[in-house]
Amino acid sequence: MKKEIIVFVCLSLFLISCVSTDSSSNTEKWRSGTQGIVMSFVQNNPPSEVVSRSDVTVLLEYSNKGAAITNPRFYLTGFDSTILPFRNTVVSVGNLAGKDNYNSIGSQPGFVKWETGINMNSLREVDSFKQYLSVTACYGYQTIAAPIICVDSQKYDYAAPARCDFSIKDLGSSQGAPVAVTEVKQKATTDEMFIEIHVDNKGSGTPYLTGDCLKLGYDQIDQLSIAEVTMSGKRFQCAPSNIRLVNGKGYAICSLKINNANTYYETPLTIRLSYNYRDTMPRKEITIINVDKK
Amino acid sequence: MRTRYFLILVALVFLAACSTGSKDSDLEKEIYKGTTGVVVSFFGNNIGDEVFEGEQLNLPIKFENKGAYDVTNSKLVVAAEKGFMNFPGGSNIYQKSGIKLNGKNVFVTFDDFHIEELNLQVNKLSPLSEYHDSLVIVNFCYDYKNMAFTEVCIDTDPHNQRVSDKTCSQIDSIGLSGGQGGPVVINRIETRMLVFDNAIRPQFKIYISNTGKGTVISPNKIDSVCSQDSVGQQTYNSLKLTALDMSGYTLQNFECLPSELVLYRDEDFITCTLKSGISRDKQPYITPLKVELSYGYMDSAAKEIKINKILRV
Repeated sequence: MKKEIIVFVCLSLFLISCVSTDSSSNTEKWRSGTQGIVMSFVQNNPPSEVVSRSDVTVLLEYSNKGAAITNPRFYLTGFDSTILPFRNTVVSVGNLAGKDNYNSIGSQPGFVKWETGINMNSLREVDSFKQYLSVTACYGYQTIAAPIICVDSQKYDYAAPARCDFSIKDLGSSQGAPVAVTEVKQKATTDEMFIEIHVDNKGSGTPYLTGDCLKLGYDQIDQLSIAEVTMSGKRFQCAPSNIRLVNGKGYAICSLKINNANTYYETPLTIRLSYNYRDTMPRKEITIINVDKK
Repeated sequence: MRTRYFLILVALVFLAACSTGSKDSDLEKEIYKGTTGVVVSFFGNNIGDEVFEGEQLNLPIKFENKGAYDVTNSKLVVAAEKGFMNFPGGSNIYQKSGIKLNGKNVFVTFDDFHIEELNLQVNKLSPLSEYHDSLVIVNFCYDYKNMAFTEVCIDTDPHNQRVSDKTCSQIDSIGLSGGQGGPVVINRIETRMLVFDNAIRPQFKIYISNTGKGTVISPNKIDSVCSQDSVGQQTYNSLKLTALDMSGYTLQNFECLPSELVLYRDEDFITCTLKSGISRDKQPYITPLKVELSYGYMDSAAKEIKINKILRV
């Protein structure tokens, strides 16, 4: 009987430990992934072949798979507006929440519909011709990383015993946004702390800060802003405040005055990056078959 | 047992009907292909190869429209050797206008044809001749056209000054191999997007050549060419660009040089530039381009007829 009780207690402990591990990982996991707004054409909308008498319907399915709230705009482009006179080619869909503590998937899918007839103009003799449709999404986004760092002003004091681990914890490789904080390095003097923040554009689009989304110049793209870096309620000074990405990667160095106290502690560091993001779907080819041929 | 066979038979008939139906429903989508227009030929292999003096010869000639366009304005001139053969009325020249031949469309893809039967009276040979080889020459003049359809990219950022996910980029040269269903063909179109302020002006260089064996003549000049009148040099090898449509713009919106093209090399070209600009605020897009040429064409055929003397012993 005693043996059975021991086995039962052991099993119970094992199960409890499993459950607690799972729940902790869930709370952290939601701020991961490299997606922001994802979109695709609904199957056969637009169709790959359409006859000249019928309408062309474009149905876009989108959702926010990242961890920030955003207000995306969708631009329908690539076609000749004299042939396919779509109305309202720019659609703003309002605020779209992403993943959070209670939702690790992202927003529900939403849909944008464009519809138009085909204006054949002087193309009455043509057998068939092609048009292309593409959608570009532009949206403001944020990357929030919250790694744990060790603050120790006497890190380089050889006389002092090693007190906490200086490796950055819980950063992960992505934070639920197309631009990810990939690495944080820290250095500390007796009265100032420096951190080096490395970022990487892991999405398929282009980050930018200002400008017309569809007409960006080379001086406007691959930029993002360090909105804030804080630790224990104190704000770091970062240089540069706007990071310029080269080959999709960039970094900034942030500093913060600390007290030269004989103390050490681990604390969360909050890094918030802010940027606009532009992503374009591969174009869809549609063949318009002229059934009213002269 | 009989019922079973009957059911199998019905099923087979049904299946056969289904397969035939799907074949018929395939629409011919590429009509404007090929490099042939109207083909003139003497009907039958050996009809009229050899005749006797004094005989009446029935000579059928076939006109087959192998091209894609309708023939609505045409003129036929047949010339027999003077003194050896006559047409009814006594002339050695036969003329006829208004032979019409349909082109092709989505539903009609066969070559329309017309057969003209010529009655020739063979004259008597001179007493000193045993036989004589005489030529019958057929000239068929008709107004024809050429239509080429292609897709061009209206690249509003041809120098890639902006960073955008462009739907298309300017294509320098668009090949149009295989012809457009007529003897005069557009071989290729070179495109250029000329940048002026905040607008682009598309420019098209259209390369044209005569791939047929016949002669290109000015449009609406077939009456003067297929006749005994004298014809100016400018009437030959001359054609006109009659339509250039793109994205709501028509020929009037383009400045084209030369206005009438004279073909004197293997390949000649017309350059057309849009007079007004397309705003660079627009995103690049692909649009169909229609080019239409109008010209006259003369195709010829000749037949040698051996006129034998009736030898009287």
